[in-house]
Amino acid sequence: MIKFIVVEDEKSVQDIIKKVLRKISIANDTEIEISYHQKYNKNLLKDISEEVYRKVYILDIELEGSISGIDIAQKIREKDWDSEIIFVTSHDKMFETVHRNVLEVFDFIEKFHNMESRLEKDLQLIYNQKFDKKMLKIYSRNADLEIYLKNILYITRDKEDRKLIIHTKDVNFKISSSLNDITEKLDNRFIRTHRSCIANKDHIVEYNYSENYFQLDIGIKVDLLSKKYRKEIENE
Amino acid sequence: MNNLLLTIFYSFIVFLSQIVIFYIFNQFSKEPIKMKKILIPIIIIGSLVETFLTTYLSPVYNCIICISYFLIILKIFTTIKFKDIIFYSINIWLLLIFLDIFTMLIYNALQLIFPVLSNYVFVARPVGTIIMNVAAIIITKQKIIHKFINNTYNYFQKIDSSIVYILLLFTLYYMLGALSISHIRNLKLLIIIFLLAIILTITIIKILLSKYEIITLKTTNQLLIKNNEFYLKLLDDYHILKHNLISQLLGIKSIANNKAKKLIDELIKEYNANFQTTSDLRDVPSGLNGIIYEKVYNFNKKELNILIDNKIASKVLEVITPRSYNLLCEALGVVLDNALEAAYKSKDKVVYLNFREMQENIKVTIINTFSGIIDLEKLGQKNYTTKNIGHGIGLYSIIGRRKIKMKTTIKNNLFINEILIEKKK
Repeated sequence: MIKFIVVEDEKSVQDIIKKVLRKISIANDTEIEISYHQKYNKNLLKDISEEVYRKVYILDIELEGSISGIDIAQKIREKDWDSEIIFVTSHDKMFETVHRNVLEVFDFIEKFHNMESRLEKDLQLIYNQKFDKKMLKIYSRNADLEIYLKNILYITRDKEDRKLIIHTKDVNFKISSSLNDITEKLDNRFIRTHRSCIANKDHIVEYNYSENYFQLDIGIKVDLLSKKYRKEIENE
Repeated sequence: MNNLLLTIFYSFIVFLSQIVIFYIFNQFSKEPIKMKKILIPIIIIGSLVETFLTTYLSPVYNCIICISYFLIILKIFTTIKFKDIIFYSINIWLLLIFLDIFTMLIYNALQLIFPVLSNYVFVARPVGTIIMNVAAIIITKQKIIHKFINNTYNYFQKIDSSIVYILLLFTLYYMLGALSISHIRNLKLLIIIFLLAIILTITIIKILLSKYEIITLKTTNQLLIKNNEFYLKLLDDYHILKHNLISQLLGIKSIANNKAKKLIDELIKEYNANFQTTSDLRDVPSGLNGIIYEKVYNFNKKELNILIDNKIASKVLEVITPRSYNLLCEALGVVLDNALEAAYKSKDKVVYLNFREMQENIKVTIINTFSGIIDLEKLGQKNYTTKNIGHGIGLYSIIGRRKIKMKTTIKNNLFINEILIEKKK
């Protein structure tokens, strides 16, 4: 079941959202619960605090009163990074780029420009995507690190300073740990490919044992595939 | 011959114990030990000396020499602050003392059950030491211990360095006092006078420095307020100029040909893009917009996505003391420099600033995107930087200061820095 929390003060826009949600629910044959709010209030706060398996927020940015949709999103993110947020608004590109990153906003939809079809497309994407917000959390004295497991491509051991390097698409992280210790924090999508490498099999598109490499979905070849682990990899 | 063999054997056990201490230090502090090749011979010599001292000197002298030896060695072979070395050393000693007492209790219990063990004291001691070291390694690996160390570390950071050093001196003095040697007892008065003189000197210097600091801060603040007013005036002039310029361009557009119209549209778009950031600065709490303007201005043309979200209604200088204000400016300057530089090199080029007034603090959150590689353990350490320029001194100099708390979280490709500064009471 998915719970949709809609915060919108315009009746006409609320009706469009209601229509799209009903359509999506029938198309996917899923039970949904919808909670409507016109502004930030106690009931909304209750909805934010409530623990539901999956939540999707559809928020208007300009609301009645002093609390905007962005403020509500900030309040949501104080407690919950798992739910999806869609903004219904009309703001400039810079505003969107910043909040897409900072608040992990799924989409910004313009109110009066193909709103219905765009919202439908977004919700279908949310339905189709795996609900996967598992995280690797590492705490050190000076900084804490939190990465979605799905974002990790592979983890290698750096021979020089004996630290682990966590490779993601855009950034890499060096941490003090061992491959055995980090394995305990990962799930079964991660496989040992070499004595100094663990890889996320969801990102691997090819295993080449003759040339000892595996290829990732982003096109990178990693030369850390050992025949020793072939059996285990194929059994997975 | 037997004595020589026994001494070598004891030295070997001491050597192992010292290696374990360095291992525990490394586990607690996550600080790598430098120049390991030189360290091993030093530990070997240290082990021989310690064995000699254990045999010929009283335990108290031995203990004082050992404490000094480890503190000096750790300072030479690591890069962390001396105050931190004292903190980790205290924790190591507490752990080892606990295990020592525990091992002794077990040995005494075994002796009661098997009286024959009393004849093998020379074997029991090294065996006990080995068991103790193994237990220490196992305990050190436990997460709960690391959590405890991290929590106590935060409390320890609040204590002034000079107080820590004085406490260390007092401990050493107390240990000397524990000896019942007459000439040491005669030295007691001299040592007390010496320590009191140190405390007095440090206190006087601190009072003088803080008085000097307050005077300097007042001057700096007046200058900052002046600069701030200047920047705001500049901003107003810029807005008027921009408004007039766009009106004139729109006027020209109505009589221009298609090519000129296109050019005018592009110019207006560019002026409006710059206006976004500068108009955001109006929202920044008064007193901080000068510093942000100065930092952001240099990046204006580099297509950064900067957004400022201010939730502070009052003027910053009205809610925090001049000293805290100075600290906040310093911290904000350093973090913002890093954030802008790192964001510029990233794909999405995002910098987000959020200002909030909490019950007891002012909270500034700076979030930026970044790319490249980050060493988690080295963040905030001296000489480590994530922006490839400078030397990472800035952040290092702020961390651990009183009245300011900084927290860094890396969430996927976002670098989140939170600065908490105490409000006036």
